Amino acid sequence: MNDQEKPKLNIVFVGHVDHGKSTLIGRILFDTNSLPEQKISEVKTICEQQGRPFEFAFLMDHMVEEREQNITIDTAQIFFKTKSRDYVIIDAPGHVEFTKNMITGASQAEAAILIVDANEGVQEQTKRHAKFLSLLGLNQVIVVLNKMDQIKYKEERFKEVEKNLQDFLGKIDISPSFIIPISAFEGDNVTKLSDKMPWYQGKTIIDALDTFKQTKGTAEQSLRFPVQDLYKVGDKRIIVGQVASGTIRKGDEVVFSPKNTQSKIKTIEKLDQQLEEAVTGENIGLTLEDPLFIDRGDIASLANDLPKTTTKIKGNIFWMSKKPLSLNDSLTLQCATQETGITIKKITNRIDSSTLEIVADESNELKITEIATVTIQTDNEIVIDNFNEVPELGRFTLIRDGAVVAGGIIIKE
Amino acid sequence: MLVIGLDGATWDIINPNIARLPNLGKLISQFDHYTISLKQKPWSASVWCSLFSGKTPEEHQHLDFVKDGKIQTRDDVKVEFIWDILDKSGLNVKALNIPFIVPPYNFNLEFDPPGHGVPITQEELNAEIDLVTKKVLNILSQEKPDLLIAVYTALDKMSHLHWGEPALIDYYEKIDQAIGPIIDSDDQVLILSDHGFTDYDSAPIQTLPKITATGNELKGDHHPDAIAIAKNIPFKITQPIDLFNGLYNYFNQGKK
Amino acid sequence: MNHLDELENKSIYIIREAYNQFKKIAVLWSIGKDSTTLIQLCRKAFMGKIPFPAIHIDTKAKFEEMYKFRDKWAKKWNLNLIIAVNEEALARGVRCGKSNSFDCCNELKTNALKQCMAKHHFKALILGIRRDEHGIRAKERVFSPRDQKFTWDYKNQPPELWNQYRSVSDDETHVRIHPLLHWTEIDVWEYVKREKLPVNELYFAKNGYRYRSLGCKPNTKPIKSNADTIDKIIEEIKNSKVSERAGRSQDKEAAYVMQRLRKLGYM
Repeated sequence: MNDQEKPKLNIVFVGHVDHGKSTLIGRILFDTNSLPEQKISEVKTICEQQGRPFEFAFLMDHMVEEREQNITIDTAQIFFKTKSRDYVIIDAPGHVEFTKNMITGASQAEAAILIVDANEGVQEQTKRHAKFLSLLGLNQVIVVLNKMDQIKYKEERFKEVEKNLQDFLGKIDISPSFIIPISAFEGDNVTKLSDKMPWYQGKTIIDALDTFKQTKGTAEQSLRFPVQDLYKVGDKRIIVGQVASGTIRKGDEVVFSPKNTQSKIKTIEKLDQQLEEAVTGENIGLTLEDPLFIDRGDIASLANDLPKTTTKIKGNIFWMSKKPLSLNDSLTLQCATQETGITIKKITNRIDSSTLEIVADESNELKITEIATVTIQTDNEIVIDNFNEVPELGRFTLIRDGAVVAGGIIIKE
Repeated sequence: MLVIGLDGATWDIINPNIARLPNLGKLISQFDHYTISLKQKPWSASVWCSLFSGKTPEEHQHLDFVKDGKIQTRDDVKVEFIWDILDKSGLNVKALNIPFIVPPYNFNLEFDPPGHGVPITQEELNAEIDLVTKKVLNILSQEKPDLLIAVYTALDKMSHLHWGEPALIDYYEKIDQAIGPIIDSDDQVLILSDHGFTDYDSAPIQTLPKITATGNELKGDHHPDAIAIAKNIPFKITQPIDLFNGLYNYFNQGKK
Repeated sequence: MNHLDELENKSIYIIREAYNQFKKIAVLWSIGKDSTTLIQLCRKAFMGKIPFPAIHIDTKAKFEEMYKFRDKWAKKWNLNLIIAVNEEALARGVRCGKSNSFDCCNELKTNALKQCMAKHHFKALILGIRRDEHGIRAKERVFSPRDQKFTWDYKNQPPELWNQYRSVSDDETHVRIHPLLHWTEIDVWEYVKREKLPVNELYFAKNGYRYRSLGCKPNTKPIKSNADTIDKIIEEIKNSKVSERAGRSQDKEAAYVMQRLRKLGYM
């Protein structure tokens, strides 16, 4: 069924639909031959029936519609492929839903493409989208200046906008890996280098994407195993959980944080199976050589590769409760299987998720569907990680009175 | 007997604006009128289905216009409606524009609704009033059906889009004008809605997302209090299935 | 990890989370292929013996083969089996197929379950519902609260994020957990094949007919089919999805209507 050998990269397209987002995605799908012939004719037929000229943007609309009908899929499953790998476009219908998925880490983007209209340049819209991008903590970003055809492919205009962009992006801590002039409509510099812009010596979007690395928790990374529960099976005490990143092997010396106790892995088990090792994503049971006191929430890692523990977290959250958040509210934070009481010390960069408008720079409250950067003081030491590398330990939920009120990702301090 | 449906009509609009709705006003002053407080979820597809099949949502299982990404048709709804049953027993029954499915369903007549049955533009929304009214009057002038059911569906979309705005009252006015001659043409007329309306944020249920795909913001959403105006109707409706039962019993016992 | 492994791991995680949060929990076993898959996943989660009961709601109208199957495998898997029967309704004469189908389901299934939950004070229930089964189900969450009357406030669901499956349960509500929500019908069959899970022979074609799902005998109708192996069943399901979509894309009117419904937010 699935071609599991080919690596996948999740990317998110950020930018206003008027700046050509749908057209760009449609163009990419088309040019990379990622859509079956049948799909393309389907869309062309529907356009005819509705008396509309065919546009690349409709390919995207159609895929979104198809995906919406396939109700087993929650967020995006729109693929395109290049010679190096498969890409999964993360997108969801509706602004608020999209923003929520991004900020709470439900959708794990590993790279982003920010679309700017070369005609309009850096306007309020662009600033908002860029700010949003900075909330995601991504460091693989391509900025594309679209609609170059409408400004006659002029280099001066490109350079002008490029400079404004870099000034602005610098202020919000984004350094784009590439800034590319394109025309999604005409196809310039999307998959093929344009002959209309000889002054541009850089890469096409596709080639730029192919230089990016996969960052999600993989088998080669540091071992992180959050303890989910402890079972007594027969007379054995078995620690169960899901490997969040890395590989665990029989005989490994592991340390449980933040307790800092240590032992050797005696067995790795599944039902009727004894394993030599287990990798990211596997749910397993462990037994140890020594009788340690282990709790749900402890994080096991290799003795020579310990995780960071802290009582101070800076994160970007999406508030989901009708009752607003107030500064100094006491809440519970859950990160992987860890749980601790917390207080919110600071709320900044408060943004309305449906318009991406800035509500306030610093605030003492946060309302439903708003996002913000918060500084959190935890009651207990907890283990955290970079969201881009170990997603399980880089995202969290906030709980009040037993109900989930917010989700968020931990950003680099 | 005439049954006129006004999808989404609510006393919250009719009562305060009764001065602008003379035909409804006349009916109310002379005949019984009340509120139907729905116990089932106020979703159009399933309530219209309950009203005319006598089955609760758990029984008819027709919960929405779209299921598994497929638009539901008459064949997907596994019930017999009042018109099927009465027609079999030899009565002259017609049903016009019944929105338990899209495009709305017609029984024993031909009708081409505006906007393929999903009117969106103001033009289409206004056109529905004219087209449905003309069709009803046309039928009544040519024959005397034992039971004629017709529904004005566009009021629902108007209410979603324009709750709290004068445009909505104007629309109610248009409907009131249009149904004037209809309610005078029969001794027994029942006007009802499948649910009421209220402003989007206070609605106990959200049937549609607040921001539509075209960027419009919805102002209103469904409320469980529906209306009923009964001119000489010998049964009362407390819950949707009562309509079916009332009609069934009435027509099976012979007239008057 | 392949596709089935991913699904399996996600489900096991959910089941373990549920048990951690609710000690008074049970799993519903309808003896069909989906809930048998669920039982297998529970066995895997707990390394063999499931530490809570499996409930079979018996309407007394199931196929004879199902009862035999149930008893055999409950013994083999060492299940703590609770058979829930609404004796009182049966005594009143309520029967499947005899009363109208709504009464039958309500009394013999729903009420039987309610009585069982109340008797044992279960706070949570694990079920094998899949998202692709029923339109409304699509909106189900993995943890879904029911109130006393077993109704489900579908629009007012608590938000659920990735795998932080948390839900509030007090004395008046119970929570439903759906570890198979992300599985499709084909996924279940592939898993049954891979794990060599026992499934009722009624699923396989005999004399040109087979049962796609196994409800109460009077209400379950077989479909025309010659699929007598799992591979053939999977092929059959795949083909029916293709022709379903082919039929749709030929419907010009439906295309217009769909677009409009989308515009208004209905789809």
